[in-house]
Amino acid sequence: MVVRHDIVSKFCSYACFAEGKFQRWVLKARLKAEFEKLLAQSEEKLGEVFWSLYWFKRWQERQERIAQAHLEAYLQEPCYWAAKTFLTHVEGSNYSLADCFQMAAMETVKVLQHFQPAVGQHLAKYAQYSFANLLRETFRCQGEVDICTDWALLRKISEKTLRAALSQHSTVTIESLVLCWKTFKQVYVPKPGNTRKLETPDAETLGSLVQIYNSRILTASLSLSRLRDGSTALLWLQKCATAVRQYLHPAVTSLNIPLTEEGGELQDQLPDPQQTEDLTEVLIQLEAYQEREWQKQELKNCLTTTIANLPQESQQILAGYYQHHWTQKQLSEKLQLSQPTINRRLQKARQTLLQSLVTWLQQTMNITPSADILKSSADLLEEWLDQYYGATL
Amino acid sequence: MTVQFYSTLLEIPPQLKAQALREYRKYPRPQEGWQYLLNYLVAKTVVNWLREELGGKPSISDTPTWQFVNGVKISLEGINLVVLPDESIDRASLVIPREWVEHPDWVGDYFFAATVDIDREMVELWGFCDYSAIKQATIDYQDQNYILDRSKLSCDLNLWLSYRQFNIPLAPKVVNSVPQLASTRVNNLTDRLALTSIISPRLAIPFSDWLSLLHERRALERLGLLRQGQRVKSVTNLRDWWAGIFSSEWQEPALSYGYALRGEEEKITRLRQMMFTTEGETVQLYILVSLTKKSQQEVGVLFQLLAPPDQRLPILEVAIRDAEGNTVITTATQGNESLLKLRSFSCTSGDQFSLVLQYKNETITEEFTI
Repeated sequence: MVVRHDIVSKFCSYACFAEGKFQRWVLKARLKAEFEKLLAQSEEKLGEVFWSLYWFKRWQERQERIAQAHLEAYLQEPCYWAAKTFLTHVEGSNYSLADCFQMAAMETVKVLQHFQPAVGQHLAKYAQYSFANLLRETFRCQGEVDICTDWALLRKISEKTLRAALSQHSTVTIESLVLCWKTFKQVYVPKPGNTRKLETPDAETLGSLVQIYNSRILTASLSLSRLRDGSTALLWLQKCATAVRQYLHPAVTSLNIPLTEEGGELQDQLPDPQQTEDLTEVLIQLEAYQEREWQKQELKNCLTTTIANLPQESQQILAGYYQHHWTQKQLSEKLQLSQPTINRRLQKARQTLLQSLVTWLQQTMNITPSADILKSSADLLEEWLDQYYGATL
Repeated sequence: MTVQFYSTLLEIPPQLKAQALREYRKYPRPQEGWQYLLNYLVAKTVVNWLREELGGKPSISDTPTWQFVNGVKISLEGINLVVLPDESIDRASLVIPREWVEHPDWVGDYFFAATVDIDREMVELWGFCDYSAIKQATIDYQDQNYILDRSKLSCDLNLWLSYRQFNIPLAPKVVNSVPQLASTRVNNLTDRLALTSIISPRLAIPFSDWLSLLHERRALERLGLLRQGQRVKSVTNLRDWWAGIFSSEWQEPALSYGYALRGEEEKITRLRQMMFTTEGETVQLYILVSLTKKSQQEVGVLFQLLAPPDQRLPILEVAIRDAEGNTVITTATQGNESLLKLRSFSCTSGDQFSLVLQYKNETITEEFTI
């Protein structure tokens, strides 16, 4: 991948993939024109961090589509690197780089929602590890979906996911299917053994499902469809399972849409960009970021000392996880330790580091720890570890 | 929430799993057995983890509803953690039964989501929130649950551990009181919920009644036993005996057994016939209860088991349990005695206890209050 250098391409171009691989950057004319207008108006030359904070502020405060488009363009690179690193370390994936990139890119809004500029986070760096985390989580979930039978799957999904999976149906259909599923969960109980390979419910279970469902619809606020018999119940449940599978595990082919096609839609939807009247807040955030850059060395000294004092094995685990991007399962194989042991040591190491970081904030910066400070410190630590162990950006 | 997924993986030791499965088999209804199993595994695994991680003495609160309600409460230095077993693979939301939010004795300071993977013998703590987060939850009145979206949870247990270390204050809790029920209502509800046609007792009566019923530990234990198909008698109030009130099954020993006792003013003795019918055989015996007034408040209680005249007692396991379900006296018959005298003990007004007799695979529980 060619790294974008000038500020206009960073905020106005999108990655184009061909045959699953990165091909080139495509500059969006409309975005470019508007952004250049803005650049001409600003007196001093402001860099990438300023503009990321600027668009983020407009996106957050006014939900402007153009701000989101600039941020999406800007986050294409962290998204690409997260996907690439992820694929290098995942075993037996059927996905191409373009698929992974697309899956991560779909989560851009989620990533933006959790970004906290007030604590001096760098958007692109924060986004890269967030994309990587989201990809890991998506694949963990898909791995489970793959090995579950329909009946196990139905016991192992949340109502939220089921509703999302059924969203294209009418309200009555959705409510009927959800109630049928709820009743199924009530009457169909697994036995300890293989809870991922549950078998088709027997006639007796289906019989009581039908009976309970039909009595529950009497008190439902909507007039829901009655269940005729056990085989109808079976059909309804299979419909739920299929929808959930498709929702949680979209077929690879559906993801192979060239990303540049979005351009056409964007042209029509863009409102005229408005100049943000007050840039003070953005500049304060920029200052917070720069101040943090300045403090970075001190923070680095504090955290590297903490790392050096960790047990040798914990240091190996941290390096494996953040530098080589090994999964906890891979770490467990390489270090001959059980997965829960790896998990506990990794958590313990991160906890020790978080404590050092918060104590450092307390002592050097006079910051009183609160729940929010701890949360942002955990984010900061994550970003720091990612960089310290040399993530590519 | 951050976009982080640092769940904490805890191993379920094989002996714990084996013990959990033994407990599971006690429940003839699969729904209740499964719920109990999940709660049991989560409670024990998380308590072990807390003990290792933080030291101190975390303790598991009340257990009589483990087969009915998802979740267990663990107390640690005055903080209540509600750990909620979860089987979902998508981890889209945390489902919190209303009991854990709306009952003053149940309410938690923190709520943890715990995936239980029995196949792989692991419990995975993947998110938590404090009480204040519940404000953002939606309520599902069909299943009586609060549903909290994943985005409202913290997914890193290290944060919770750090809250403790840096003394982050707890969110204040506002919980309305839950009224007590009259004892006849408690008995009626318990009998109603014992019906085999009811799958989930917590959803089978108005939820406010269910919340009130949660005050009644004895009734819940009785409900649990009834739903396990065990025979449970109603509670015998021994205080009534001093006023000369006896229910019909408690007889004077001299009348029903020909067992003459020396008359004493400060002592009351009554006797009741019990019967085991198991594996096609019927075994009879008598329970003899003697009360001795020791002071205005204190009463001595002595239990004796008697075989019918000219017979021997069967081989029995006998236990006296206190209100918390702890065994305070335990003994057994050998099969060659006609009388078994248990160690006497003292009670004060308001105490509750039960006598548990086990013959082969049948258990009889007799409840008493004084």
